[in-house]
Amino acid sequence: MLSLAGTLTVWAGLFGSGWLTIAAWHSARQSPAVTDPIPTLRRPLLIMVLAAVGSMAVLIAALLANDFTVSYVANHHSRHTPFPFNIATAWAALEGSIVLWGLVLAAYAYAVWRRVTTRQDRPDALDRGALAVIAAVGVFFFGLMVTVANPFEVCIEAAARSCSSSSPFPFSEAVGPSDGAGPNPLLQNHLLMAIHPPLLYLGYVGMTVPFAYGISALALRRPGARWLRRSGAWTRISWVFLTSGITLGAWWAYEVLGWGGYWAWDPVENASFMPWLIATAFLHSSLVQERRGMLEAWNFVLVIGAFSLTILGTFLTRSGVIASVHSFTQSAIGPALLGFLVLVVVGSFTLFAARATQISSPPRLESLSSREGGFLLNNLLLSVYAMVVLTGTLYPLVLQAFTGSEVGVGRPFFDRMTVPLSFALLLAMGLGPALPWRVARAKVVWPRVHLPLQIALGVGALVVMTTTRIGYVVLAVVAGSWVVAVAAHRLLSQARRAALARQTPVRKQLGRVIRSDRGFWGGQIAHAGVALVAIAIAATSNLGQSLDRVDMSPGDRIEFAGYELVHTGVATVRNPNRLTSSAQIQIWRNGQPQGWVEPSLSQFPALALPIATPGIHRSIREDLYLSLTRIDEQGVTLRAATAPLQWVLWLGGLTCAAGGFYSLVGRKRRRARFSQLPDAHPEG
Amino acid sequence: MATRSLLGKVSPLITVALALFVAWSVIGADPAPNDRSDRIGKQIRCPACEGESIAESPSSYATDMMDYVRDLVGQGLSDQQVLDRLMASYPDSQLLDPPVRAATVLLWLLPAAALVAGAGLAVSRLRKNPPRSPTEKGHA
Repeated sequence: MLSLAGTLTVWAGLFGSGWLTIAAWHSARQSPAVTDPIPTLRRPLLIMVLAAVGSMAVLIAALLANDFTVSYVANHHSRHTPFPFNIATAWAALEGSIVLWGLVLAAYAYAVWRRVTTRQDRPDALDRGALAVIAAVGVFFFGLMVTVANPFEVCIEAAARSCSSSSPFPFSEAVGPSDGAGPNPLLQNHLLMAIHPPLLYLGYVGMTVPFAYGISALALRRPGARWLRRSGAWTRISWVFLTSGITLGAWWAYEVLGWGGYWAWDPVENASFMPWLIATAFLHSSLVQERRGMLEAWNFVLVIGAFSLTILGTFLTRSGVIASVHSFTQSAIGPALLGFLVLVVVGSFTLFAARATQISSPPRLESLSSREGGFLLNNLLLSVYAMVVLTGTLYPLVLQAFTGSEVGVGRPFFDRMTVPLSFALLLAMGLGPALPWRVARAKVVWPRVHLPLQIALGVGALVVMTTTRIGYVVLAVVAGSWVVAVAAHRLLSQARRAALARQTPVRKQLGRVIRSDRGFWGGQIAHAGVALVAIAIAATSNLGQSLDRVDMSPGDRIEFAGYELVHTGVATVRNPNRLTSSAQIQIWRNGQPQGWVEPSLSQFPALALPIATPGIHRSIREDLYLSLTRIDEQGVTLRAATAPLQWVLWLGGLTCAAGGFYSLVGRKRRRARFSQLPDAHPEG
Repeated sequence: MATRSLLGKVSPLITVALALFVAWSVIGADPAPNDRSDRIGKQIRCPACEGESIAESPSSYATDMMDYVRDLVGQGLSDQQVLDRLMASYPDSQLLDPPVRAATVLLWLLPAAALVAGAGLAVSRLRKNPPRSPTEKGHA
């Protein structure tokens, strides 16, 4: 029954998105200046949106109803999966994640439609073309759902705890297992796992919108900055989601995987980081075009690159092409995604090349030492950064595919290549906002950066004297403080000037200055977030201590990194889906009890090896991270590590996202100001 | 005003002094504070668990290998000698830090080529005849 309903929704989605593609493209081509608010597109759009919502709703209903005749439910769900993981299962495995893709895409399509039909100037060909491109991407994903990634197939042959054979024909005779094996245990261990994938998808899929505007501008021969202005808010929205998704993903790895790290340069992590890097470059370079009309061609390259990387990310994550700590899925969907990736890259760049003559030769740069020069440096560093990650991620795959020889590319490679790039970016991040447009003269720049530089070096000296002399940490602290100090100095001096002019106290002007240019100050908040992240990464990876393996029996007491750890006992809890044994460890410091932590091992029926869940004692100074490798009657084997300033990492990531969000909130006013500027390419 | 101009003269000196102090302290510090065994372990992929190094993985296979690494380090072998000893029985693909070979040279060249090409492109965008401005600088 639910199979039938689900199958109907995905076919309806395919139909709706196909119709929308054709209708939107037709109207974009036909009417350059029509006045109707595109009523012809409302019906196919609604079909697509309702179908997408419907397919997710049916999938969740099937999970909640324990309908094991639906193949997806039989293979990925069990009666004992607790809330909210029974719902999160809807997007935890391959087919369901494609349904989530479709849903998020339909949501963006609806939001774009709402935006273009409610704003003051009427939707024009550019908007219609963009809707057509979004819908065309929808055709591909709904196409996957009705073919190679159909979650609503009927189970026609049941194995013990899964479905061994299924049929796409919804009227087939259903034979489901009585119970399933349930989702991957790692995915039902922490609440973050229910939040992180949707956030990441909101970021991934959101990049479709600026891509669609870019392609629409190319296809309709409407270059200029208009497509950037139309899509700028969407780029920011998806960047904010991507930033928070990556941060929460790292947090999840730290809280759940039990090895004490948060970033392993794993291909799946890289897959989300590459679009972030290119989207970040795009956010900056689009400012240069909006402001100075430069980098027009480069912005097309970046937006195509960012979208292609999200498709590449989906391919890497969901095709099982890389066996990694994250790859929980294996499927025949790989060739389809790879084909789509090739189509996107080749198609987009062919279109770009065909329109190259219409993309204006940009005004030349007056000087590299200018705000534009800073953005150029930012773009260069971010692109090379993305290139490093891309090469390191794909190299082993490509080499193995073509020559059969294996090569490992891991943390040492990525660290060596990216650490210098990261420091260069950090230093540029402090300098860039202090540079004026066109030409930066030392007379102007020096007063803006001198005091911040002194402050940063002073903080560095303080760190050297009190904490550590390790180069990476000191440099990260100096560079991070420099970034924050330049922004703070700028804020204070602007507020002081305004206060002088209005005869009001300076503190009353601070908020006004920040509100006056939300784009710039949102950017500075995001920069401060990146600075915090850099300091936290340097601290956790250089200042932590670790104790590899220590056996403890109940009653034992050990000393580690200034803490005393007392093993007081073992508790075992039997849940329907797992057997969890935890060790109670009391933490002492300076003779004072600090509390208990309970690292545990969980035995899932479906898995041979137990899953370790760490116990973390948090303080302002550092995290004390304890995980188990053994637990039995005789006692436990414990791994202990300290992670100084670990919380600063999460704070930094979320501050970064918050900065992006802040730049969004007041964009309307900013845009109104921009639209008074003459377009570089008057249309018509 | 007099104190202000005096401050203006002294201030750059303070900056330079601070920079020298920080740089000198950092350069004088032990460049490799981490445990050597740990550093070596981070370069070797744990054979039983995908993607993690033997220094990071909690599996018994990895911890046994780490014990062996510590043992060799304890015997006074250099980093490279320890690695060579370990890798005698494993393929190169178990190294997380790929050695420079014919097959891996592109791995290093591609990002370098991107950097050079990008920087070249940026410099070529510079205006050939800059507007009259006395402090025009053309460096990156």
